[in-house]
Amino acid sequence: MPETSDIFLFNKVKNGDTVAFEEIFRRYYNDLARYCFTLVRDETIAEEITQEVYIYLWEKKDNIEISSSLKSYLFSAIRNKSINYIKYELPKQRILIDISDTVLVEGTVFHEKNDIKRLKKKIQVSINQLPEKCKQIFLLSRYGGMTYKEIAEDLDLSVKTVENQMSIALKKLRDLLESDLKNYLNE
Amino acid sequence: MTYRNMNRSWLEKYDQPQTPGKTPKDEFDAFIELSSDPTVVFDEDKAWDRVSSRLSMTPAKKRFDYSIILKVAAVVVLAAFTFLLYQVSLTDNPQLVEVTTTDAPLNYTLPDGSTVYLDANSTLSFQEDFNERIVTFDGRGFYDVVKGGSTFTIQMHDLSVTVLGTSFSVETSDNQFRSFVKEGLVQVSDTHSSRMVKPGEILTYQKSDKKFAIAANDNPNILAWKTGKFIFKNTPFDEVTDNLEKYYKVNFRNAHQFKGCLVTAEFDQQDLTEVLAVLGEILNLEFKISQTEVKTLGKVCK
Repeated sequence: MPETSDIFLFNKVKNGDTVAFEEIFRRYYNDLARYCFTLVRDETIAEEITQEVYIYLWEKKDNIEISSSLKSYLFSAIRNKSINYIKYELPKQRILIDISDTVLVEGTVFHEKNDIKRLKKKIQVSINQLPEKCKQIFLLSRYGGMTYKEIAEDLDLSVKTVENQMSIALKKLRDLLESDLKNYLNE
Repeated sequence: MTYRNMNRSWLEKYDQPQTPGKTPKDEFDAFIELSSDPTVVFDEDKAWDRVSSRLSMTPAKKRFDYSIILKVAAVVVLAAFTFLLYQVSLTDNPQLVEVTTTDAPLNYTLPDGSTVYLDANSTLSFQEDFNERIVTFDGRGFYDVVKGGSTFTIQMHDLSVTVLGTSFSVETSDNQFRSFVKEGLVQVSDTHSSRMVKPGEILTYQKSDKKFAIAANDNPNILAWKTGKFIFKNTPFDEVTDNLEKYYKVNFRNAHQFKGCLVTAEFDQQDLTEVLAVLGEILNLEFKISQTEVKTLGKVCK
């Protein structure tokens, strides 16, 4: 049986059809959450944002007009929400020290390729340990796909400041990860 | 290449907007990109349960026929359901669970599987649902915390201890707090600052001047209050009795007079009378026990 088209399903959603809504939910949930994860680099936050987008979709279904496709609507909603999260919510987050992660970053150099999972974690943690402003700018540029100019305008900073923060971020990451990078490349 | 130049050259690589999922440009790029983990799989069912319950949708497993009558019925059912949920939430407030020991210690397992060995005269309390893994504690305890998604926090007056998964002991008295870490890392914070305690270290916090001190632990009997295993090597008598007091819950009244006597012995959960018999034999001393008081009699060692 061919898949019911998105637009057909969304029209049903507009009439309050929860079954159609569930179908749309399941069709894109994992793709959206994964995309969101590449933006915010935190699994819990990624799921939260994705669920918020769906909840918004249901609550505002009467006012939402899809111009292109539902899929691209959902993906750009995720992107906007993620960027807003990085801009406004991330700086407010209470810094919770994840102790095992701190040990990971300070104590370990990875030699084995099969340590890839811990290595991934270490990179994530290193990014998370950047100073707040640095991290925000790094994430916006690197994962939010924004140019320096866009970031500068958005955060009300000069392009020069954004550049400086980026080079601080990169230097710090390089310092934290240099030996791991070497090991990783040598194998 | 100087550091500045190196930075510059990375910067140029990052100067263009990046699209997530795009082929990485170089090694550093690919390396950093490792953290995005495109293989991660999210739990769709759980997510749907959350979203549908937040939108107060009944689980939409079966298809509805949207005739007017059914619509009305659905609204009624939904309203009744919401009302029921509301009632349940009223009566089902998270309960505070309190565990208190008096004479005897107790091994207690928390809802997340972590265990606490509460020494006598200690109190542990927590919210029944235990979502946030926060406990309030007073007394002496040994914690074995299982690794979970979130941190585990112990609150003791104005101090808090945060860990992820590790084993350690904590001890509060009127004027002092002590924590000994066996495995993992423990963070101890007061309202102003915090300290990390590593395995084998012991942190002491004086409540009077709010100061932390961390030292390597050199007492092999630091956990003997829990294990009942004692190792003494040329240990002064009063230090021996300090350790014994915590496990056997007795008070050696005049032990300091005999601190010149050195003890080399090992005990493993023996009865107090047996331990005292051994000590008496080694040091040529006698002991008089009345209830929880132990008096030492004999000649002071030189």
